[in-house]
Amino acid sequence: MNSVFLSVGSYILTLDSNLLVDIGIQLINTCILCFVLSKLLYKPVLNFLKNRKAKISGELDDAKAKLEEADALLAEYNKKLAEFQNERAALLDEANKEANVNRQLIIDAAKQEASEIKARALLQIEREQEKARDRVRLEIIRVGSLIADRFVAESLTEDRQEQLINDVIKDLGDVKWQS
Amino acid sequence: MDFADVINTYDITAESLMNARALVLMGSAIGAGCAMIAGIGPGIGQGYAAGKGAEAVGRQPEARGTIMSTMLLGAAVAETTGIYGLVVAIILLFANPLVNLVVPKG
Amino acid sequence: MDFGSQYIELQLGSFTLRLSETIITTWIIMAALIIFAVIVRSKLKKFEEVPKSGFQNVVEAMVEVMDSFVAGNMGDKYRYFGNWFFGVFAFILFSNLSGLLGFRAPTADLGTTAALALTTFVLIHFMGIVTGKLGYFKSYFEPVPFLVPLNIISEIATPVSLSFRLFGNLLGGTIIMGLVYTIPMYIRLWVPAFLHIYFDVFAGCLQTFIFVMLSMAFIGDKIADTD
Repeated sequence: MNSVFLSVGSYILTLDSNLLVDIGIQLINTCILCFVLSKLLYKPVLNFLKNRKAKISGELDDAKAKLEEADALLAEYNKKLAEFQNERAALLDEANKEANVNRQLIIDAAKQEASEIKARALLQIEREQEKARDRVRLEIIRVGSLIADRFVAESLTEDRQEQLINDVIKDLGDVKWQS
Repeated sequence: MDFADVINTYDITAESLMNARALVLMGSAIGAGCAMIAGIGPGIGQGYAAGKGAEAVGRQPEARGTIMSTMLLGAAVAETTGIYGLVVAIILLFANPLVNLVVPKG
Repeated sequence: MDFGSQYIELQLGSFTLRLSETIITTWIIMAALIIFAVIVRSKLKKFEEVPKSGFQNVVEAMVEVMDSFVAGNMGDKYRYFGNWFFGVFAFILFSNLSGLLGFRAPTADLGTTAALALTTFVLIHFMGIVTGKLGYFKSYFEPVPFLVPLNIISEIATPVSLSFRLFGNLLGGTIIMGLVYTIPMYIRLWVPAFLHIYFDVFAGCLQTFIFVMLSMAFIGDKIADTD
């Protein structure tokens, strides 16, 4: 392009075609500047801010959800713990009852055994008494016969003697021994 | 009739042209000065707006930002007439439309 | 005293181009902003969840403030306008602040501000037609049909006042600064520094804010009117 230098000068305000040309040039300049600034600066930074805001609010929601989950978990655990305690108490109760029953059984058994032993001991004592009584009776018989022998030998005849022995024996059967 | 005819008919010399130019410039300068009287109006108006704004801030300090921007907007609109006066003065002083009208370039 | 924008006129074929300081400064600002955007884009992958670097904090704050600003002024549905207004805001702000670096602010030129106001004008009426359909055209005949010319004038006055507000403020600042800089150094001392703080930083930021907020308010109004 062939450009020729014409003149220099200065102006403050001219109301002519030059003003229109200036307006045109400045319109283009402004549009270019606004376009570039919006493309390179405003939009990307605004998007960055928007993304960050979205991310932060998302994280907040996430944290809230997690907190709720944790609360739910805690409640569940507490419930389970309470259940366990109840169960334990029930088990202890049951064991106590069973133990009581067992004790009673054992005591009963022991009592029964003791009474059996006592009964057996009484039986034995009775038998011993019986034996002793028999033995005493035989001794008395022997002693009696001895006395009788002597008495008879001294004073009685044979017949009388026999009669006497028989009387004694008859009497013996009626004698009451005291133990 | 064109410029040459005017000069021939009315016997216009360079001196009388200079006189006409000087007269127009004088009138323009006086006109510019008069135009600036328009500055009184916005001065009073904006002062009033600022006073009311200060009052409003005193009454409601928490609404300071809104009051400020509303006041500035109002003051800017009130300033319009003053700006028109200024522009007329500037045009009269620097663009010299009347000189070019009376004394053509050439 | 020269408060104007320097230019050279070039002959490109049959077309005369006035290449002014305004346009050159605009290109410098554009280049700086685009380089910044490229840096941000390349560093975006390294951005962390929790910002540690000041750079990331600044970028995030800028975008977030703009986003909430648009949402607050125009409603959640029209958040995508942030794409446009972020660029406009950055451009006007850096134009206004460029006076601190010795440039002549591009916004102190009617060409720039008129272009910006024109985009707002187009957006207002585009959104009006898109959201309002027939209601948009009907709104010109309200309250009574013979007010149509007045309605049209008020619609045209919107971009005119938008562009002239920004232009007038910046040009006023530039002229006053230029006048002060003509005072010799040993008299003016540090006065220009305070003037820079007022005209470039304070008025610059305020006018940027006002321009963007008014644009949003006008577009939002049109949407709300016809919605």
